[in-house]
Amino acid sequence: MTFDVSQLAAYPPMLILIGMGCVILLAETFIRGTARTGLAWIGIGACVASLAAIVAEWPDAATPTTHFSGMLTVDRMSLYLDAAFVASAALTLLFAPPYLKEQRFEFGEFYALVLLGTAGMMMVVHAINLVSLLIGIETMSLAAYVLTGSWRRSLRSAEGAMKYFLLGAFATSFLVYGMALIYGTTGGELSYAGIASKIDTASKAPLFYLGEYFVLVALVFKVAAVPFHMWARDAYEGAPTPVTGFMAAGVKAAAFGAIVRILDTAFSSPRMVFDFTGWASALSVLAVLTMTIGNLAAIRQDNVKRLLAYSSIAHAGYLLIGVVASGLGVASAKPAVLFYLVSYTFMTLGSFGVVAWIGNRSDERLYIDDWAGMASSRPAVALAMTIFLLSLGGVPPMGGFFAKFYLFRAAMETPQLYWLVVVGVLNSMVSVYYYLRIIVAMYFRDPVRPLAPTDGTSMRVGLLVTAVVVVLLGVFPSTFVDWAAVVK
Amino acid sequence: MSFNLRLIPLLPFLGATILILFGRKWKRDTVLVVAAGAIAGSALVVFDAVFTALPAAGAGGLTDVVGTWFAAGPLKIDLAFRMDGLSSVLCLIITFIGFLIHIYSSGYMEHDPDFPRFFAYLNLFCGSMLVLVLGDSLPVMFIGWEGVGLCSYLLIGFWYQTTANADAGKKAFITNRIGDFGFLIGMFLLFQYTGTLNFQEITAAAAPGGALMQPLWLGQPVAFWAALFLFIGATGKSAQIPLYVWLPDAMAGPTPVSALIHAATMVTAGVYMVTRLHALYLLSPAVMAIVAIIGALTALFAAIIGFAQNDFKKVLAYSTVSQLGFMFAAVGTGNWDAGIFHLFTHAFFKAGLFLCAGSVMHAMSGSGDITIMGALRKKIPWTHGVFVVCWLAICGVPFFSGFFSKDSIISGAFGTEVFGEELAWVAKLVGILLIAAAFGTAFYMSRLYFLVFSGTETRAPQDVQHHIHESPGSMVGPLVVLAIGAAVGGFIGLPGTLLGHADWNWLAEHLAPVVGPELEVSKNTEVIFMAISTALALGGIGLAYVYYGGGYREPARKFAAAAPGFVRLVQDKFRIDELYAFLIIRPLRKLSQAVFLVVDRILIDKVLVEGVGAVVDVFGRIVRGFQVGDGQRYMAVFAIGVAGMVYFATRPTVPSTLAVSVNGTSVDVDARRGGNTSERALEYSFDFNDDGRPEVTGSEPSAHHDYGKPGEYTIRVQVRDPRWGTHSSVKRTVRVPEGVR
Amino acid sequence: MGLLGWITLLPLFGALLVMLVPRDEESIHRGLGFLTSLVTFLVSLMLLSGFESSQAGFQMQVDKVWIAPLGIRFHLGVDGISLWLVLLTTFLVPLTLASPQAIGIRNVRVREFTAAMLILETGMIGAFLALDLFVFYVFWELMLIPMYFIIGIWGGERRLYASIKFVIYTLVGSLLMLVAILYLYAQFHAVTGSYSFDYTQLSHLTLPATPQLLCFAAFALAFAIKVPMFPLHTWLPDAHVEAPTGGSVILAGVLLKFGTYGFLRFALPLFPLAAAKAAPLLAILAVIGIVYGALMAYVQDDAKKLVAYSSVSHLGFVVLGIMSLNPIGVQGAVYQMLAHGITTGGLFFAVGWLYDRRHTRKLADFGGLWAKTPVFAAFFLVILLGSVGLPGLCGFIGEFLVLIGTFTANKNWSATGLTGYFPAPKLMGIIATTAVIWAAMYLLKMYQKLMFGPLDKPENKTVRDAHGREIVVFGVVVVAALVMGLAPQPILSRSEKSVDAFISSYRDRLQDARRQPDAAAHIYPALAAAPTPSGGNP
Repeated sequence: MTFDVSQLAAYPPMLILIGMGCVILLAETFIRGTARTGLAWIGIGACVASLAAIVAEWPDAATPTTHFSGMLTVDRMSLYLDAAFVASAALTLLFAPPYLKEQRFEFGEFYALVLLGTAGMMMVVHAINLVSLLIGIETMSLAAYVLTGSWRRSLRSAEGAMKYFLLGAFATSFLVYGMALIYGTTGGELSYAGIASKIDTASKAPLFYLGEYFVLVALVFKVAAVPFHMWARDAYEGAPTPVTGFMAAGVKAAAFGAIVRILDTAFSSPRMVFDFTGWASALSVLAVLTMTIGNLAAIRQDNVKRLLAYSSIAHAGYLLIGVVASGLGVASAKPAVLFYLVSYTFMTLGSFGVVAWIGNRSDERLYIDDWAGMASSRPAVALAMTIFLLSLGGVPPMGGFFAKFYLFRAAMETPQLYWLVVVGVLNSMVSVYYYLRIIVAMYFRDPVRPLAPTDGTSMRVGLLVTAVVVVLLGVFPSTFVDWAAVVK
Repeated sequence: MSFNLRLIPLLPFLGATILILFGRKWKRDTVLVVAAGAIAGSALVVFDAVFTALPAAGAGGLTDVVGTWFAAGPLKIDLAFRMDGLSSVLCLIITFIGFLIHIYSSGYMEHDPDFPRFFAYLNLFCGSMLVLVLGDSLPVMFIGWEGVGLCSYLLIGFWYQTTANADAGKKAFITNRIGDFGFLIGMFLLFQYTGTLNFQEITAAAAPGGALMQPLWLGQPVAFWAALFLFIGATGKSAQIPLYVWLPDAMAGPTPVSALIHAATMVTAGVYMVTRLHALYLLSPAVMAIVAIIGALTALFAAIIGFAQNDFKKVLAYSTVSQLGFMFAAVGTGNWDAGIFHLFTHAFFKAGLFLCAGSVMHAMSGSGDITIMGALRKKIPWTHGVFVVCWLAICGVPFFSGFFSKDSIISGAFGTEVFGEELAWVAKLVGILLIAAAFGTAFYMSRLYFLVFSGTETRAPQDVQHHIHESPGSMVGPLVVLAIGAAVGGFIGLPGTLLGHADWNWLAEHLAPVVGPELEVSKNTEVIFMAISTALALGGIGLAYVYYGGGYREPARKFAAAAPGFVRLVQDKFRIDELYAFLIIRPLRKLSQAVFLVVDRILIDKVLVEGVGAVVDVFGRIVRGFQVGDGQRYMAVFAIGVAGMVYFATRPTVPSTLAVSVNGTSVDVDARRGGNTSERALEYSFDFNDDGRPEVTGSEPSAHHDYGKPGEYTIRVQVRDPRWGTHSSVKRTVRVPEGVR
Repeated sequence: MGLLGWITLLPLFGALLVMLVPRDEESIHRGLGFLTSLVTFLVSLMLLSGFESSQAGFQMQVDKVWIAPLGIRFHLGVDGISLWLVLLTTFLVPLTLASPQAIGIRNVRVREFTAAMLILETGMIGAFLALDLFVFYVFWELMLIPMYFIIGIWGGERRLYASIKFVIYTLVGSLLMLVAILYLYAQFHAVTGSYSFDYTQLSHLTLPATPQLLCFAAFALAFAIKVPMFPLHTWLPDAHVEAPTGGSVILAGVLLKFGTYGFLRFALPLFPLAAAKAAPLLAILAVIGIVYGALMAYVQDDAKKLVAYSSVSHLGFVVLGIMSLNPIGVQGAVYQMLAHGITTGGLFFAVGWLYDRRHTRKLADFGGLWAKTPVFAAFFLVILLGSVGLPGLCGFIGEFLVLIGTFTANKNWSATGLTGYFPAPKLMGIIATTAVIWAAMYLLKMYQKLMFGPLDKPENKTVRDAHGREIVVFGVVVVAALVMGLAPQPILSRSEKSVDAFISSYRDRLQDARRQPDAAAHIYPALAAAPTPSGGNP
């Protein structure tokens, strides 16, 4: 086990974020008052830099390289997702400052934690060993826990953080236990490749399957798949809205990255995928549950934040379809999942961004009725929100539509999944109904009381960017698809 | 031979368009000049066509193809006109009488604010009517057919402020639509079997043994059904049983309209159409019989209703229905000439009568109630004179026009042979009905005459009496012209054969190329029936005189007192309208309303649409209600999830359908799962007759069993994983067939 | 870009332009919107000059790679059928934007309304021209959003209910159709090894019986809802009654046609075997719809609802004509689509005009209006008679052809050994023909209650007659109805070839399917050119 520092050179995106995170932490102690907003700009700068680094790495990543004796790898898939994480971090940092200022809990650690959490996400998708995966997940999660609870004034924030932490710990314990079982049954293998190499012998031992499933449980917990989703509502609702977006987008994307990778490498043998103990059928069931429960729960919500929380659960369900498809050997499934994650990142962050935008200190305006008549006073924001909602609902020509289309198209390539696609389609129909409820409020109803939104330039920029990207993803998806498609 | 026939309908159409666009701003005289000018113009073209071009033309007559109207696949409809002996007669009537009516109306409508609109409609009507008769194919005819229907709708409801008028118009249009329904079906059938809708080609196709003779429904040939459906159209347009009900109400329109549309021209379209398609009708004696009987029945039925009507125009309306019945009886008996002949004469005397009615009502300050009239012959001499002529004509008094035409119909009815052997009785029946109807006609027309003109004092209130005056020249002029026509019109159809000069019958000669030679009737029959008709006419007049001469007389009152119920029934037109309302109209509306409520609102909307929504909603509530933020429950669900997943993941499964092969009475079952490469040791248990006692158990995934005897068996295979204690099972029923050994 | 591309996207650009103008400049929004749609109409007229009526296939095709990895191409093309529907669209939209009543009485947010209308136009034109199923689907959904907003923002009291109902109803169909499209796509790849959503390619793919039936069901459901066919029609009255006048005009004038157009362009050609199986059912439903819609219209006391139900009846004819599957019937169906667009569009203009004047649609609130509004009454009457199907006006031709087509439905099928697939053509024809009675009943009832009778209600005494732009709008509609009634041949002759091609290709593909009932998915007839090269597997 040699640990060669030079290998760090392969991970500038991660390092930049960590480094700048520390810088912010230090700087924070010297800066007082509103000037802290500047820290956010440092963070954004960091994101830009790290994005640049990703772009720089992209060409070489065509041939994956592994480092730290098989702990981490750099390949197209991980970089693709890195970009998504960086984007979500940057957008969060755009939405956050006015929000924090308005809600009076502006402190620099916030921005640092966003960056560090992002670094954790990167680790999760770069990991090719259960240990590094564990480290990544914990880094990411700890940041998420703290950020969720960072809103000291709010009780719900604290409650959400608490539940998130407790259940998160519970899940992590499963991960560790699963690792132990796998380690034992495979005769000391923890790297994905190693596990795969020992499948034939290991698969005779039932405990190995138990290990496999415990690891999966920990991961699907992070994507908030039913029935491991209960924390999501409280955490998403309690967290400061920009953080909610960050979690819903980034954390979920990271976890999916890990799932796809681990199923694609460690448990890819047909014996692991198909019948007896195949995870394909298990995940299909999870997918159905997640989509359906998520949507059904969202239908009755009058609280926009919760509604979006449940909708993000439902989206995890759609994504699982793609995961299963790629498990069943559909080549285009993995790109589809990645593309979905990207467009999902933007539309989710955007919609939560609007939620952050609309409220103010005295009145969060989280209820659909509070949104009534928004279009007449703030047409631009209403339009942006409409774009996000239609995209979430999978209506052309938005990115969300093409993402769904691409995903379902992949699933349609294996007859086993036709039924799953039909379920998914029916679900997205249900989902349209509750997304429309918000649009109805914004456009078709008359204002109940005047808006006093948090607003802020950076927010507007953020919303503009997200809205434009969401539309672009729908109208000209080719480039993004190409990038996703070259993922090995 | 080609001739610019399109001008004939075009001129009135132009007139109408101009009047609609600019008429409202113009002076009355200008409007009149345009309207009458248009119709006069087309009249001139008609005269030119009929008296110079047509004689020169061959059997085909004059043609004018404007172009292809529409074509699709094998269907091609030309917008083409044709004038031959038949349509020429109609064109003459339309343009000539049309022109007279325009003149008359200028006086009659003098004080009406909607003067221009009225003349626009009149022009529109004349144009449509001319298209109807000139059209060379059924669809083109249908343009006119519907056009005249529309105009009659608009003109009946001309004084739209009164709901009753508008209702009458609507009733007329809808009743006609019912007829059109038949007309269309007829067309479709004809096209399907002949592949054409052009009159010439239909006539050509209507040869015995042709496509039209193949049986369709109820053993009747296509020809029968096509003709029958077309005849339904005719009963609508020409007010025959059962669709006559609209015509009496149509009297709500201005009187000139009643004269032109509802007496002289439009209502005769049915007769024209049947004659036009005589070849088709001749193919099926049965349908001829139906036409003849319906015609005869209508003739009598309407005449009877006419006995008891007390409104001047109503009497004339039913008389029209009755006279149209005569015409259908004529064409139904294959007596085409007579039908058109009567159409011609009737056009004159009935138009005359209506215009007289107009003049009388004009004098009576708008009232048409004959019970308050009487002794008008002195007060409005001109009108009286004209009325007398037309009256004698319609009664069929010798040497007036009606005499000849009606006589040839009745004699034809007895003389015809179109019905063949087994339907010969129809001819007799029709003949007898017609005789009765003729007598009735003479009676109710004379009743009308006596009640209105004869007697010594007018029964109207004084103030009305003061205003009684003769109509202006613009109205009297046309009256006189029509009277002349009514008097001598009969001479175009002299029974030449009788006098040994067949060529004296101008009409028959004129029509021969279209409908073939005149119906042959022996001289004796001819003479006998002339005598009979004369007797009928005089008898009817006499009886009427006994009852009503110089006003209501004793016998009339006696009769009314003797059978009040019957009289009221007749006065109420046998309550046919009420019957229709009760049997058809009201049930239809009620049914529709019920269906709308039950199917649309409740079944589809509430149950299907909102029902599904409600179900989803309920689930939504449940799911949402389940999550109340307490941590333990979260943990619990989490744990359940893990457990479920583990079980699911470790459950060994058998294929959804077992591979079973039966040979003889023994079966082989294979529970091995396709593509399953796992070497995990599993315990299979095969229960071949699902009685809970497995016959074969062990780690072998396949098994063999012999039932010994054929029958239906249910095989249950259970597979168990010893290390997990998890299991699953699948069932499959097999049939062991009989007698395989 | 190509002519078709421009026609499709012009309105969209116009919409963006309109959105850039400050929101108070209402007159500019109106003007700009109208101008855009007018220009679009004029440009679309160039289609006529370029169109080769002797050709059956798609013309002036635009075929650009859009999303290469999935083999999605921006493929547009026009044939004799879509040609006229596009023209109908570009014809009606300017009229709508010109009409003072378009936005209805909630005359607010002119900018958004105009933009929505233009986006809608792009959606409609695109969907008519699309030859790539993905493109078609995108445009299909693109129509949904603006119409949803038009109903929801500018609609009447129950607009929320109506708009949601409209969207959900439509989505139910379209999403399942999406699955079917994906299935076709996958199967096409399985057979040919290349990915393509191209209609001209996919229409050669013959699926096995069962999947074919399922896919057809998915497509048919989407289209049957759009038509709408009984019993899926109940969204229509609500949507129509609540929608503002402009919305109703476009909804009835164009949107409904997508149902029937979809059957003609996609459902039948793609799944001939299943279509033949389902034809009797669809034909029967169509006939039911004809009578049912008419009777429902007869009992309405709300003018707009009445007209809405009349659409159900009239579009029943279109479906019937399509299902008759012979040149006469299908030509009739195509023509009836256009005629219905004109007449019903016109009727909605008229009803909207009345609503604008009196703020009510209840028949009972009117009466004797003719005395006050002779000009309007005249226009209204002609349009109405066109809808009744009076010969000489546009309504007649379509119905006449459809009915003849129905009567002779099975006639030309003996060659294919498929005689009698159409149930009791004569009986169906006769039942459908009764519509001539019903139409007169409900439309004349409406006209009489509105226009005739005594002018007894005080608020009717002050109604001002049509004037200015209103006269222009009505006048144009009336002229169109007359011209289409008297000279239909120019239209029919241009659609003839395409219709014949549709039927013949349907026939021999059906025969192919019958010849080998349990064949696996295969290509028939052989593809002319190799599938579009772009279809690499992502």
